Order: sequence, then C-alpha cells, then structure tokens
Amino acid sequence: MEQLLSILHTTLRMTTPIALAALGGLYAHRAGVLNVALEGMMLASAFFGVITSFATGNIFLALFVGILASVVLGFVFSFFGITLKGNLTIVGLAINTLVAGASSFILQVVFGQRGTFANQKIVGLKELDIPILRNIPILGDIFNKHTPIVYLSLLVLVVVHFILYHTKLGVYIRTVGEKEDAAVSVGLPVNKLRYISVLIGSVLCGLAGINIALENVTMFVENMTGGRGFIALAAIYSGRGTAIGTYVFSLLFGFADAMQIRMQNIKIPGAFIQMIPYLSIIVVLSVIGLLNKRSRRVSDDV
Amino acid sequence: MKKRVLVGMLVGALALGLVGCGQKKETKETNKDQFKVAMITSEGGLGDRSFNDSGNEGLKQAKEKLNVTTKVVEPGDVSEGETYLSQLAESGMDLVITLDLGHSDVLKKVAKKYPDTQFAIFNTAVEGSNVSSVLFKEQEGSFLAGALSALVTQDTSLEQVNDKKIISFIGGIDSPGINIFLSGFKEGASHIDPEIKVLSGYTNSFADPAKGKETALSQIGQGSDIVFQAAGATGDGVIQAAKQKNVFAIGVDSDQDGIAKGNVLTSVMKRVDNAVYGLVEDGMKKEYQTTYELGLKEKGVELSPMTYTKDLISEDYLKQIEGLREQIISGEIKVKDIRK
Repeated sequence: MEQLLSILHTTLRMTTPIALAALGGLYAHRAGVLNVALEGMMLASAFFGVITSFATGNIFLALFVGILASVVLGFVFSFFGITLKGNLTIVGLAINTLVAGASSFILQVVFGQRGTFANQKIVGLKELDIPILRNIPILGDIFNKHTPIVYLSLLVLVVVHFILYHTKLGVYIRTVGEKEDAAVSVGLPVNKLRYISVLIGSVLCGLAGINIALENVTMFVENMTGGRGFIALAAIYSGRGTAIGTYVFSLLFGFADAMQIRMQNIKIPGAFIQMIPYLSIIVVLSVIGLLNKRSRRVSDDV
Repeated sequence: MKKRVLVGMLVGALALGLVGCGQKKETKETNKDQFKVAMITSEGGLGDRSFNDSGNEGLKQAKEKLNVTTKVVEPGDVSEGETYLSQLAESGMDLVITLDLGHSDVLKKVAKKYPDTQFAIFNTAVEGSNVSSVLFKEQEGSFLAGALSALVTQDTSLEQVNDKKIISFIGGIDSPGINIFLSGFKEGASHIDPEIKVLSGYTNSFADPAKGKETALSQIGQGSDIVFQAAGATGDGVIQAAKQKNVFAIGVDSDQDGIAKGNVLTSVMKRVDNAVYGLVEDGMKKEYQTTYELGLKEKGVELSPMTYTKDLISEDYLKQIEGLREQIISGEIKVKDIRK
C-alpha cells in the first residue's frame, strides 16, 4: 500500500511536465495546427528560467522570463507556420533544433559551461506542505508535498477544459480546426485564432519547462526535456483532442514511467522494464487507432 | 509585409549564425620540431565537468610541462569520427587521441592508412601496430566505494544513515561500460558484509537529471542511504536527491564532492588527465604500449580526497579502505572485470 501511494506520488510529479505541454498543445491541435515545437518551447523556458534564476535569484522573474522565452518561440512558430504557411513539422523541428543548439551555445560562450549548468545561486521552487492535506490519509500521501506548478497543472486542466467547451473562444478554436471554410465564411479571424491557440500552448510549455528545470531539479542540462514534448503530442492524439482525455493519457505515461523506475529492482532485465512507457504509448495508440477505425466504419454504414 | 519578411530573414540569419558557431576548433601556430598532440572529445564535449574536461586538463599539463603543441576537437556526434581522425593525421599530428569509444571501428581503418601517426583510444581495445588502447579498471575504484558504503551504511550515528543495510546504484544505460561500476561496487560491499543489499536502476539517458533524481528518490524510499551514480549529467539529479533527503551520493569520473558538500560521500575518479599526460610522455620517448590498463596502482582510478566528508566518517573506516587499496595494488585482492 505504502509502495503504491509512493508510486502515485511520483506519477503525479512525472506527469506534470507532459500534461502541461500536452494541454498546451491541445489548443493548437484543435485549431488545426500541429505544434511540433512543444519540446523546444519547454527547453527554452527551462534554459532562460535557470539563467534568470541564477542571475537574479528571483524565482518569479525566472518564471516570467521562462514563459516569455516560450511565447517568443510561439510567435516565431506561428509566423512561419501560420502566416507564411510553412510546413509545420519542419518549422517545429527547426525550432527544437535551434533551441537545443542555441542553449548549448549561450551556455558555453556566456557562462563557460558545457553540458550542465548547476550552481548554488540557482533558486528553485520548493515543495509545499499543505496543512489540511497533510492530515488526510491516502489523499495526503498522493497530493501533499508537491511543488507549486504540479498543483497549478491540475488547475490548468480545469481551465483548459472550461475554455475549450464552455466559452466562445473555445467554440471558435474548434470551428477553425474542424471546418476552416465554415469558419472563414462566418467571418472568424482564422489566423488570429490559430495564433492565440499556439500562444496559449507556449505559456503552458513555459510552465512545463520551469517545472522540469527549477522544480524537479535546480539546474539546466542540454536537452533535459528528453522527448517529453513528443510524448505530450502522443497524449493529445491518444486523448482524441479532449482536455480530460489528454490529461488521462499524460497521467498514464507518467504512471508508466514511475512504474518502470520502481520495477527496476525486480529481477527482469532492465531494458524490458524501460520499454514500459514507450510500449504503453504504442499499445494505446494502436488500440485508439482500431477503435477510431471501427467507429468510422459504423458511421460510414449509416 | 516587407517588414515581416525582413524580420524573418534576420531570424534566419541569426539561426544560421548560431549553427555555424556550433563547432569549435582550436588551432595554434605549430612549430615544426614540437611534438604535436590532438585530442578528440567524446560526445558531450568540453565542459562536462567529467571525462572530457579531465582529458583536457591532462593535455594542458602536457602543454605546459612537456612543451608540446596541442589541439582539441569536439565532434558534433560520433559519425564525424572518421573525418576528424583522418584530418588530424593528415595535418601531421604525432599523436591523435580519441576519448570516444564509438570511434573504435573507424579507427581501425584510419590507423592503417596513416602508419606514421600514433593513435590512442580510451575505454575500448583496438588492434593495430600504431594504436594504443587505454582502459581503466573502474571496478577497482568502485570496489573501494562499495566497501566504504558498506561500512558507512551501518554507522547509524550519522544523520545521513538509516538502520537498513541497503545501498544502491544508478547507471545511465545498461551496458558493460556502466555495469563495470556496479559489479565493482557490489563486490566491494559484499567484501565488507555479504548481507548488504545493493539496489540498482538505469535512467536510459545521460542527460535527464529529473529522471535521475526520481530514480534516486525511489531507491531512497526503499531504504537506500548511499546512492552511487554513473550516469553523466543524469547523475547531477541523483546528487540533488541525496541532498534533498539528506543521504549520501557517490560521484563518478571526476571529483564531484563539491556539488553537494557533505552529501557526496566520495567520488570514483577516473584520472583521464593522468592517462593523457602519460601518453604524451611516452610519445615523446617513442615508447608507446599497445594497451594501458590503469587501475589503483597506476593512479588511473582512485577515490576523491573526500574533502567535505572525511571528518564525518570514522577514521577507522578510512583506514580499512586504505588497507583494501593496498591489498588491491599488491594483487592480494583481485576485483573481477565483467568485461573480460
């Protein structure tokens, strides 16, 4: 029991960056924009967040600058991908490559560091010990003692869901994605809505980057986002573009990762256990693909 | 619109500029009589506070003390190995050292093509009349770390230590080059007390500190109070976890004791600097060996001086470790090499 609770506690922590990036990418997805740049946005936020924290010792400023960096990339992505109608995958990958290269470069030239940037002066966000939660059994074990952005991510889930399904903006965004022609014909500002979608995503990716670099640890390492942006994309697709579905699948991937860390002590070759998160992604995507196919066939019959 | 295009072009130019600067080559004026050494770093390049930096340190020393010309090249990835090896040999280097064991296959080819150049490769054995292979006996350093951990984990008077006889290991990737640390660590621990339990885990990445921290927290949760990591930058996360939970971590490759003062028990150091320096020295005398196997005896591996922890730990333990070190050097204790 204690083991399980500790796994769930870890799960929530490992889910957070994936879920934030996924919920962020969700708007763009629903607006018909494939945001491949999630990874780069997260990394940029992690990088500039760490640098700002190092330089000023002010975590709020670090949070702001991290998100700002991510938003700037959101503009770049939107400009090339939406305004200039460039190939989204290429623009996205270009941004990811650019951030990976630029962060290493700046680290080397300005700070004389390569690979890792860790310093006592970097201030991170601490875990919160919430008085009421502390005393509730089970719930307290799972939900207490997390860092602020973990809690924020749960709030984000609610807000994202609400905006997408219960506000005019949400309806517009979905319309743009589902039937662009219809959106144009009723006079919706298609490009503007797509910009907004991408930029909301940037803000959330910014949070995810800070979560990785200044909450989980307090340092920057080249490519420290480690493919979480792409797992987030998988979560969006698996969740069939709904906020709750996306979160559930982020949670599943986080859980698989937490499990594999925990299960490494069992006498099974480590490589098999390390496959779990990726295997679960493939299995989930396959099952969803099959289900989609079936429901499509049914609707074709009708 | 014109303005936008202009902005776009500027961003593009900036991007190109950054990419163009990605690779760094250091060229110094060469004097014909001087001995010329080039070193190719392994992936990660300089600034890793570890393997490559240590090699560079040795090269710097050689430059100062032995008056040789040096050059360091940092390839972007392993596939560029052949180009660099050939180019450096072509440019008249006397000794070309590669720290990347991924270059072993191409080195065989290149070495044959340039018989007048001496090559050296680290961490793997490559055959060839003009190739030296430099291997470290990581197991010997890890043995001492394991033995020390086995002693320390039973000393409950320390605030960092719990009452469980559990210690643990975190590796970057499940591979012989990493598992050699684990096997030595285990052997050392059970030499002191066969009942010590050694947990182990892998993060599948050398650059994911968040995962390193998570794995360490999981092991600490299972009762480990000393976590030995051999996982590159992932290991920085392990050390942060140890600091957060106030237990011990053990560093690797270079002296990492200062990363979290008092929470890094010791570091299993690979003295790449000594090895590089030694190679240059031998090169100037033209007395290369085909294989260098560097262990405790050759000062190729050693434990860090424990600057921040030696006062915490009972002197008796340190004496025992020193005794074990001497026994390994004299050959009384032979630590198994799982790679052979």
